[in-house]
Amino acid sequence: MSILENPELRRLAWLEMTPVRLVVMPVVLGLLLLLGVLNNVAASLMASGALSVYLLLTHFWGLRQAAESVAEEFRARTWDLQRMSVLSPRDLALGKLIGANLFTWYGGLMCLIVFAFFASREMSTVHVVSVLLFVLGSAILMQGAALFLTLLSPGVRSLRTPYLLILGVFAIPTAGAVFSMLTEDNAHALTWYGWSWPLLQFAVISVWLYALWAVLGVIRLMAGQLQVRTTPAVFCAFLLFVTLYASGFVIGRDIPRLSAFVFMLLTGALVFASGGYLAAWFESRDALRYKRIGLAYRAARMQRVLEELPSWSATLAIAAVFALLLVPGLTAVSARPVGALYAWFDETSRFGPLTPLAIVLLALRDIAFVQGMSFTRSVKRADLPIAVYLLLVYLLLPALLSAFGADPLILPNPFTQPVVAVVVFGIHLAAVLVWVRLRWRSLGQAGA
Amino acid sequence: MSSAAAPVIEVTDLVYEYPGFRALDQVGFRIDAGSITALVGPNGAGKTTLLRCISALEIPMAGRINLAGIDVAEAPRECHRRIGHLSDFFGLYDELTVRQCLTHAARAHGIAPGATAAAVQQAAHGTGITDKLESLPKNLSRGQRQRVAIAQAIIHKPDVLLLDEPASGLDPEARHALSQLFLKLRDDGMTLMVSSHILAELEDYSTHMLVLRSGRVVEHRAIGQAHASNAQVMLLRFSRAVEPAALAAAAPALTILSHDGVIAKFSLANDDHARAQLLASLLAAGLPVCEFAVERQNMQDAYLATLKEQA
Repeated sequence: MSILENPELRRLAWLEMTPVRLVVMPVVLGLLLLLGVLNNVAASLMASGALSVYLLLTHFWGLRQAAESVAEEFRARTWDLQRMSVLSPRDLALGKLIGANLFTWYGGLMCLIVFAFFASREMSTVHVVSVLLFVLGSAILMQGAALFLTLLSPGVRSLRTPYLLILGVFAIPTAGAVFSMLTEDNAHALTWYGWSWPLLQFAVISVWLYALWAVLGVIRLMAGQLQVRTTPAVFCAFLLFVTLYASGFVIGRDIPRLSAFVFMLLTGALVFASGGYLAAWFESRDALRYKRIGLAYRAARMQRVLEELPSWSATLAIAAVFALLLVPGLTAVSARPVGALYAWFDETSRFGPLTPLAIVLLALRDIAFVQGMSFTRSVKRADLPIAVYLLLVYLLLPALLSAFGADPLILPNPFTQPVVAVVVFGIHLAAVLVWVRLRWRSLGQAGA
Repeated sequence: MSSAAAPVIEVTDLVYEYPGFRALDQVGFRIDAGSITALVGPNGAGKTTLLRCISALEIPMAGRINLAGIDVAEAPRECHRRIGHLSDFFGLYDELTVRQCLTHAARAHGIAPGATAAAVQQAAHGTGITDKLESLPKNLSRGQRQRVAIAQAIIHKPDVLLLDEPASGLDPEARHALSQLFLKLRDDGMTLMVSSHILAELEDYSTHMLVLRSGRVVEHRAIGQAHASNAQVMLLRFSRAVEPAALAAAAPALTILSHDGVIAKFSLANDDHARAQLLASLLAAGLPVCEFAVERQNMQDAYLATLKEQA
């Protein structure tokens, strides 16, 4: 289906592009432009002003619009109607992503034309085009991320606002980065996988790559809403991309290959463990999923088992593999110190061979606790106790123990005490797993 | 459309669970093409969950749902081409005109752009809202909104239409109109499954009754047919009061359900010979019988009798 025939895009176009709106936007923007011209405002200020309005429209208003495109369906009770349609996840996701922001793009593109006109008087064409490409990509990234976060829990209004606030906070440094691009001479460069990249061009490529991942993430979540089964493969691919992206800043520099490889493994372990941590919190924590996995496993339907697997289980399994490979890897690297630049991760006091394993065990312990707390009739009710637990374990208890001068064994430092951390977190994990099993049994008895 | 011989919906051993609560427990039944099945049961019986499972809006824990030859669990999107579903709290796009709502529904259900206008006209005509096409749904009455929602659900001419409490909140006139609409849709070849608490309204158009209780099917039969146990409730009226002992003496094997002296109700097998024998013994005992008939149960009576039997 071509995008112009997309029913969701057409529906949103009927709502967004009303005749009144089509007239009001150019009139308001035209008046602002006229005001600037009549007051002989400098070209650079006119360009900055146009870019500011663009950012307000597409980044701040845009992320709200993207989120509302699904949230509004819940309020109006039309979401089931969408789920009963035969639109593919891609068509529905793209229809919403583009359609919800047609009006903001309508105004935003006008702003970019004004920006290009005034900016080209003071900057090279390459510089102007680079800034344009960056702000287009960052708007797609922001709007995609907003829709992604909304789709994580589409019916939960209480979560949407904090998510959007967090995104809004991210939008501010993005805007700051855009303005710094206007003033810098584009001479800065960085090294990535041994190649020297102009900073601005690297930023453009990066923002577009992450924007594409955001759109892909939206399509995958939409697939879940439309009962199209997926596996955690794409999420793992994204985490692998982040690992490779981050590793590029080290690999190719003048360091031994083994150190570079170990750095990549270390980055992978941390990225996959963090990804698992986030997924365990944000993904659906439906206890019955585990029952379905058990039934599918007993029926030897392995594809179904993979489709039901929570993302965190796949990412943590990969993180654990990385952590185990790091035991000999970090031992070897620490025996052959490299340059001062990488001393921070070579230093055994910071990254002992067992540090990554301790971090993975820590993540597993917390995730097991989060899942166990969710083995209840109302998952929503579990959120507050989980938040209290995290506050208690990571802030209050260590603070209290250190106030009394006690050794905070409940949270040993995996960097300074890696061996103790592995043992203690292993014991914690075993205890939590026993408790999770008891919770699971009591939930089963309640349902019997 | 499916042939009349094959069931259009076949549910086998369906289990659906909420955490700590089994909403559907080994549910199984077959729905014939061209029927209108009333889905009844107390609150919390699992009616809405069952309809949502058939519509592939919820994933059951176990069991199979076959809809017009499609395994719903394996091909939920394909199932959506063959089914229309109207939920109890249906929503409409209030800022779009009815024509835009129907156009969107048609396109979202895969109707080609060239055929969309005709499909909109047909659905609007079928539901009697042709004169409302340029109105905004928010300006329509509840009954009219209900019709717009049904038009959206049937615009792709599904084999099966599932409706959850469709008459809720409608006035008697709108309910009657809705009943007529359901009969018309059935005559057009659609199979309907309607859940409702208003049994009197279901009686106007239903051909079958499916009773759910605590997530289990307790009765599924054609309306007007004998009870599952093949027993029928019969009514006996006397011209003057008769002592219960006299009635019991005349027919000792009779299962008497109630007796107020003049009217007695009892359960009897659906067998003409047994009826003739009973009447002969009552008359031979000198009882003043002036009426002897099968009690015509309405749907509410049938439903309550089923629940009482199962209790």
